[in-house]
Amino acid sequence: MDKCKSVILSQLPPRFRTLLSAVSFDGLEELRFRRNRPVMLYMRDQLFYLCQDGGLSVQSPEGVGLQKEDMAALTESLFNSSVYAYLQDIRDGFITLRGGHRVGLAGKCILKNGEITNITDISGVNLRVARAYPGCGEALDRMLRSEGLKNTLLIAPPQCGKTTFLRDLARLSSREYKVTVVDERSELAAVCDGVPQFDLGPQTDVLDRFPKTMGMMLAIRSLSPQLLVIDEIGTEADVQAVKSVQDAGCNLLASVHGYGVESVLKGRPQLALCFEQAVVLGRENGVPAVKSVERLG
Amino acid sequence: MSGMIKLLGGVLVILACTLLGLQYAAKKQTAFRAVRELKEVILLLHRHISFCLEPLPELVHRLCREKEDAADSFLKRLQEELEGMEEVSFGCAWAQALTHFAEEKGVPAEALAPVQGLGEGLGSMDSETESARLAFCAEELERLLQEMKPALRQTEKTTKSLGVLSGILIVILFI
Repeated sequence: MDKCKSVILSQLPPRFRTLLSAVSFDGLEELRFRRNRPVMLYMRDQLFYLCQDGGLSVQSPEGVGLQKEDMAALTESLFNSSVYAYLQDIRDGFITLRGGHRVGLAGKCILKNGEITNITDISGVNLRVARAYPGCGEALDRMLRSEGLKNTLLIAPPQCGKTTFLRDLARLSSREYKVTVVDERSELAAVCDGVPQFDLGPQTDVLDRFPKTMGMMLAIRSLSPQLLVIDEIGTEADVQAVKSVQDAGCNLLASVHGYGVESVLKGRPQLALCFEQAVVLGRENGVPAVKSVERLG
Repeated sequence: MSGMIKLLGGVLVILACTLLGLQYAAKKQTAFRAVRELKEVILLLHRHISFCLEPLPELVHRLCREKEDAADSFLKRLQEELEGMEEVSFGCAWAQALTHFAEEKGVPAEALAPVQGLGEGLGSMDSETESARLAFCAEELERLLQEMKPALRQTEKTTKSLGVLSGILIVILFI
C-alpha cells in the first residue's frame, strides 16, 4: 500500500501531501476534495474527515474547508499544469492518474453546440483509489475456462469488483489467448501517458478510450483477438456490436451493471443470446466475492 | 621616455574607451538576441502544444534535452525552476525564470510584459486558446524586434564611434 500512497501523494500539491502523509491508505477507497468542505476519506465503507493536523476524525472539523486556492492548486497539480493535454478526459468528467487512480470532476460545464467542451471552476474532486488484485480471479478463471473459452458476462452492482475481476480474468486468459481490451473509460488498463498501469497479460492489446462499439469493430478488423474484453455494456448499440463480434467468431468477456441474471435479462433479453454463462458478483464481509455462476442461452 | 609613456597612456585610454563603446553595443545586441530567443521559445511551445498535446513540464524538459545550445537559455532556466518547484505553480516558475533571464540579458520592459502575461495562465486552457495566445505573444515580440532592429543598428554605430572618439577627445584634452 505504501507504493500506492506515494504514487497518489506525488500527484497532489504539497499542502495535501503534508496533510495526508501520516494517514494510512490501507483500505482507502476514495478521497474527496470539495470546496468549503474538509477533505473526506472513505475507508471500508466509513467516512472520515481530514483534520488540520493531518489526523482523521469521524466528526466534521470546524473551519478547515478547502478554499478556492486549494482547489486551484489541486487541479493544477492533477492536470500537470496543462489542461489542454487532458481536455478530452476532462470533457468526459474524469482523468486517470499514474497508478491507474481515477479522478472524477465536478464543476461548471462549458457547452458548445450542445456538447461539453470543458469543465471549469472545479468545485469537487473525487479520487478513487485503484487497486489490482492479481490472482483474485484464478479460481473463477479455472471454472469458466474448464471447457475452453466461452462468452461470459459478469454481473454486479457498483463497488463489487466487476472491473477488478474482469481485469484479472483478461490477464489470466492472455497467457493462452490473444486478448483485446476495449477500455472506453480507461478503467481496465488505466493507461496513463501511453502506459497501462495494470498488468493485463502478455498477449493483450488495449484500445484505450475507444467508444465500445467502434473499439469492438476495430479490434475484429485489425487485431484478430480470440477474446474481447469489454467493461459495462448496456446500450442497444453495445448489444448489436457484441452480436457482430460473435459472428466474427471471437469470444467475449464483458461486464454489466445489475444485481442478478434475472434483473439484467429483464431489461436486455438479447444478452441471453449473446452470452453462454454469467457470473454474479456481490460483497461478502465487505469484500467483493463471486455469488454464483449460471448458464445462459 | 616621458613621450613614450604619454603615447602609451593615450593608446590605452583610446583602447579603454573603444572597449566601453563595444561593450555597450554588445549589451544591446544581447538584449535583442534575448527577445528573439523568447520569441523562438514561444513559437516552439506553440508548435508542440498545437500538435502534440504534451504536458508543459514534460515538454519543457524534452525541448531542453533536444536543444544543444540550451546552457543559458530561457528554457533551461524554466526547467531548473520547474525541477526545484515545490510550492509554486507553472506560472510562478515561468515568472521566476523570466525575471532571472531578463535581468541577466537586459531584456527591455516592453518585451517582458507580454511574455509575463502569457506565463500567468499558460496551461490553463484548451489547446486552441493556448495556441492563439502563444501566437499572439510571438507576433507581439516580432513587432518589437522589428522596431528594435533599426534602433539597434543606430545605437551600435553610435556607441562604437562614440567610444573611439571620446577616447581621442580625452587624449587630446589631457596630453
